Amino acid sequence: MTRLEIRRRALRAATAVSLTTLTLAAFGCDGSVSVETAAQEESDPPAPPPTTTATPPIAPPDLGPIFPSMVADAGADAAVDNCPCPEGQDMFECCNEQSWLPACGCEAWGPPMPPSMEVA
Amino acid sequence: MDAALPLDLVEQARKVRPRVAAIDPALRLAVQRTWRGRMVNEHGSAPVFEALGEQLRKAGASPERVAECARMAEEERTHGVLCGAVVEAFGGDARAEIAPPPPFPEHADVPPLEAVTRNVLSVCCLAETVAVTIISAERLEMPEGELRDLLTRILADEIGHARFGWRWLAEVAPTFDEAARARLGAYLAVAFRRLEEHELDHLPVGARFPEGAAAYGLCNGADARELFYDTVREVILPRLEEQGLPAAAAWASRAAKLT
Repeated sequence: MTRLEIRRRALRAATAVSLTTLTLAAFGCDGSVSVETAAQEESDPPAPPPTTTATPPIAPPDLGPIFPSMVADAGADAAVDNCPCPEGQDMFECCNEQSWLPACGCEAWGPPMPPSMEVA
Repeated sequence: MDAALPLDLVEQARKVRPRVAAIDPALRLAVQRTWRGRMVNEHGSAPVFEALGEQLRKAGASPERVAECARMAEEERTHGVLCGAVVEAFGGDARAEIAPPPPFPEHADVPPLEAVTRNVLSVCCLAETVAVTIISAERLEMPEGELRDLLTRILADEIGHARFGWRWLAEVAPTFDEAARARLGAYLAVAFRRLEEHELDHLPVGARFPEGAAAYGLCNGADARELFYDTVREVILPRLEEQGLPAAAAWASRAAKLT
């Protein structure tokens, strides 16, 4: 699957959840969620091939490997080389110190606490 | 700074540990740490929904709505266990130190219905809608298997969390007068700025995992950032505008610190 196709499907998933109850009701959906909601995406027809007039996909810039040591030594634990957080350190504290470096596993999905208006 | 608290999900996580293929040793720790981070943050989102449910109750929402929040809080805890199960599957321990949750904003400066809508916007219409896009993309890059099944379950719940917010907004938005809409627009500028800071902090543009990392749920920061902005511009802003909120202006005025 191409990156463009992944992007298209991912955005379509978000679009679908943002539809209001009125629209969902028209399709017999009561707002409940099941795994099929996501799996249904799999049956989507593939995106049409680009035409001659379409803008060709732009290759992402080569940002280089984040773990250059892997090239030289695939057996080395590259994450250790790149993440300065010692084992056992508080995750939030360390991730904040390291600007949420992915090599340290500082990535998350859960919604953060909403901001208060006072921060404006 | 408040003392960190221990989070130990080992026992629960080991019961649902997915079967995974052998992994390049060079990737193993990165996978452990990534999923441990998710474990911490997913588990840490449970209090957000618990507080949201309580605020909804105080604002006069139906018991069903309040119960939905309790269920979503439980789902976030389950996600924490599932993410911990991945940590365990790749040889790590589903343990971490967590910070106490920050205070939940009550927004006492506005009426209760408007106050809770601010938080629903921030949590569900913004953060969880972005999560749907990001997790969908990560899932599509995964091969078939138990790890993908696990991510599918998480995604299904996140879809429900985002949908909760959009349904709520569709119900209450027509009741707001122009002044309330303007105030919600002002809040959206704050929420957008916080969201952007949060996402960019989590998705460093220079970060790139080795080839094959996507199979374990490690995403490319640059691609994920693009997806974040696409989600805001193509999904969130149009939907909020449809509900009569000045979202585009709020987004334009967010003045986020770009990192």
